[in-house]
Amino acid sequence: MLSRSFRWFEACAAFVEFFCAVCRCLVTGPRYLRETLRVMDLLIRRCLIPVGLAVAPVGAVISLQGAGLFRMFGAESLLSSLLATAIFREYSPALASVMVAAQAGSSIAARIGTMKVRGQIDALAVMSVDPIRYVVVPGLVACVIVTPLLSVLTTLLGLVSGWFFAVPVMGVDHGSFLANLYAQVSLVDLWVGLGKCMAFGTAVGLIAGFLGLRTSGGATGVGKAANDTVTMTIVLILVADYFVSMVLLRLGV
Amino acid sequence: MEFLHFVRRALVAQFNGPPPRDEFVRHALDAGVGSLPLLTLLTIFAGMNLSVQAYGTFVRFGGQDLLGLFCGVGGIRELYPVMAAVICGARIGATLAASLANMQISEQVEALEVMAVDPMRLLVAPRLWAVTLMLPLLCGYADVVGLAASYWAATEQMGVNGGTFMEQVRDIVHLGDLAAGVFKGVVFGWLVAIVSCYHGYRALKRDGAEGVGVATNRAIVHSAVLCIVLNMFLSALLYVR
Amino acid sequence: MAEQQPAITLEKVCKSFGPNRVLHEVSLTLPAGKIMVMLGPSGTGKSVLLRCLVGLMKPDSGRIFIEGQDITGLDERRSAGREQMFALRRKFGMLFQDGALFDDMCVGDNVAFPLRQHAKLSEREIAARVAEDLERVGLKNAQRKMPAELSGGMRKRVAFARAIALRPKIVLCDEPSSGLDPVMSATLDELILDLHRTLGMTFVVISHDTAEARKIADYVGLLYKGELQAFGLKDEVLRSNQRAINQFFERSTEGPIQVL
Ligand SMILES: Nc1ncnc2c1ncn2[C@@H]1O[C@H](COP(=O)(O)OP(=O)(O)OP(=O)(O)O)[C@@H](O)[C@H]1O
Ligand SMILES: [Mg+2]
Repeated sequence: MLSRSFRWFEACAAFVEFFCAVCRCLVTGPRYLRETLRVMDLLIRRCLIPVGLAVAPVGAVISLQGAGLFRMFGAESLLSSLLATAIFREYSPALASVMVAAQAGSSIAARIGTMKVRGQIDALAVMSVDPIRYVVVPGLVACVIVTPLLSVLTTLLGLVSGWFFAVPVMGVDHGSFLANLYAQVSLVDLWVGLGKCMAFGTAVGLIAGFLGLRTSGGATGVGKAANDTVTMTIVLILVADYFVSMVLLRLGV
Repeated sequence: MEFLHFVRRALVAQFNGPPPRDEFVRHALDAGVGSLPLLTLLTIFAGMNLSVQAYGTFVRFGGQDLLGLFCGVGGIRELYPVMAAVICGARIGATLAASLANMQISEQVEALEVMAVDPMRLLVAPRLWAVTLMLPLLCGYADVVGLAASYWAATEQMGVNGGTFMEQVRDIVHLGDLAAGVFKGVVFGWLVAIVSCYHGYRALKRDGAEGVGVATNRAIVHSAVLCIVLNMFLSALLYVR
Repeated sequence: MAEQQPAITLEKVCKSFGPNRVLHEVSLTLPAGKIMVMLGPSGTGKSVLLRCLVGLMKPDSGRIFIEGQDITGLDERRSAGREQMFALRRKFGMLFQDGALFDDMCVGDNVAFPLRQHAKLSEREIAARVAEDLERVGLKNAQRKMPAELSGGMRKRVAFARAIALRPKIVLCDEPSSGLDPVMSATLDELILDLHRTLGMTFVVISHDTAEARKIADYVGLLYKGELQAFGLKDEVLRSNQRAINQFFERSTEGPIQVL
């Protein structure tokens, strides 16, 4: 018990130290811009399809279940309002981030973990290249930028699939669907969504880098690092999402 | 194509007599009990989130009293089964893929073959059974925890009337819905297991540690995406009348 | 009749990976109950050859007979072919180059594994056999350890114990002596000779160690660039004065075997 809490404490301390090192690398040069761009390009290409495939069905399912619900009260026209707010503010950012965690987070952690168990990280250090600067920061920056971009795309996809299931499939009136679509959505919703995405993207990049660098124990360790990254970020995203929603609700925005 | 071939072999191994007991119990415990803390935490927050978000949305057009309906339908029919599947895809699936991939790259699978033991029977079949049987249970568990969390958030934080909330839940959620949720659990469980085993099994010796990472990554992403997409079709099939 | 069959016969076995030609028309015959040591520089396809023998890899062309049975025709994609292949593999024990121990079992369970799967023995008999075999390889006290806690040489010895646990007819050893200290590797040589004498097992041993070859081999083969440069009874091969053989046994840099 004692040794467990000690390990936990040690991990927290290590994370703080890691975080400070990352910040230091962010504010001082040299920056590996080319490497960052390469990772960004890779992330976008790798994440586009999974993220799209994950978010589109959510719009569809909201329409599917929502149309039935609203029909009971003869308020079908409100469906598109529900769809739009839910997607803009909640599902698109959360799901996009979860999928970025699943795809990008796990592959970044696995890549860094592989380098670690093969001794390449030590090799970098011996060649006096700071591993955090060279392998962690580019991934982090890429995650922070890519997640909101993906979220914009998934928002559109979610709306389109929602429309498809509401109008042709469930028979909601096309005109009222469109008319109500933006009635409840404000610019604030958009910013909230994008802000969340950047925060979650940061979390993904940080956790992946941290756990990747802490990998030990050969090939199994690599799998564990990838796995832990995903579960930890998903937990973080859901918990943070709840508190953000709560605060925003209280503030009345 | 290769995947279909794998599925065929896996099915043969799965239904060819009972799986090795020790392995099955070990994986069932790991998949079921091992996922409980994570799943509990996540469903509590997802349930509360569902309430809070739905409230925020509904209050704009004066529908806050419909919270129970929304939480019942959204949670039990859709959110909790998918969540259990995605979380398990991330946790159980990744573990399966990583362990199998590790066995592949260190030639342990080939060692089994040389010892005339069918790896499909010994490794894949018990994992498939374990996850397929545990995921529906986890779904049922998530239903209960999530609904309780939604209820708590709705009454304590949003001030919705508890009686109305429960009444609406009871109105809208039928036994059939619960059964459908469990059915989804079985389908998702098998899917997560087969996809993860496939990616783990496909790792090659020359990939080394990297192969384990790749297998884990693919297992997580493919099982999550497949579950979410399949959920859409299952919902359309089960609920559109 | 079965005794007259050679244990292993290869006929013009070829295997390439893409443009990389690894085995080229390898033919040999190893009578039952003999020890063959296969020599060859690193990366010439010795491990690939072993894998072909147990059907883990299919040769591109050529045929392989195990005790007279052709294994190249067995189609593992069909269940009948798989059954036959599995039946055939029970004749084999194999020591993998990196051990291939099961990470999630302790040393004792690793050695007991083939016994539990195939031998109709009680747990007590299995435990006795495991203890006996571990003692043979000098690891009596490591029974409860996990593979991750072992050194490379210890893993290799455990893997050897596992390979012989079922007392198979043919044992394939991929570099049993590399990574072992001279004393241990001599002990392992004695063990191979002992098993060979008492149980009449056939051994195919891959090695870089010419001293080991001199000591245990009945037959010696030299594989280089995918071709079997020399193969035959040890004395004949050693007397034949082939340059590649001489170079290998004299540890010389001069000769047909070039480091590239
Ligand atoms: N699965 C594979 N795919 C592609 N190429 C392979 C594969 N396995 C082996 N090779 C290639 O075959 C050649 C021979 O490999 P092999 O492992 O048989 O060498 P070896 O003689 O056992 O060497 P060592 O003494 O170092 O173990 C190598 O060039 C290797 O790159
Ligand atoms: Mg080799």
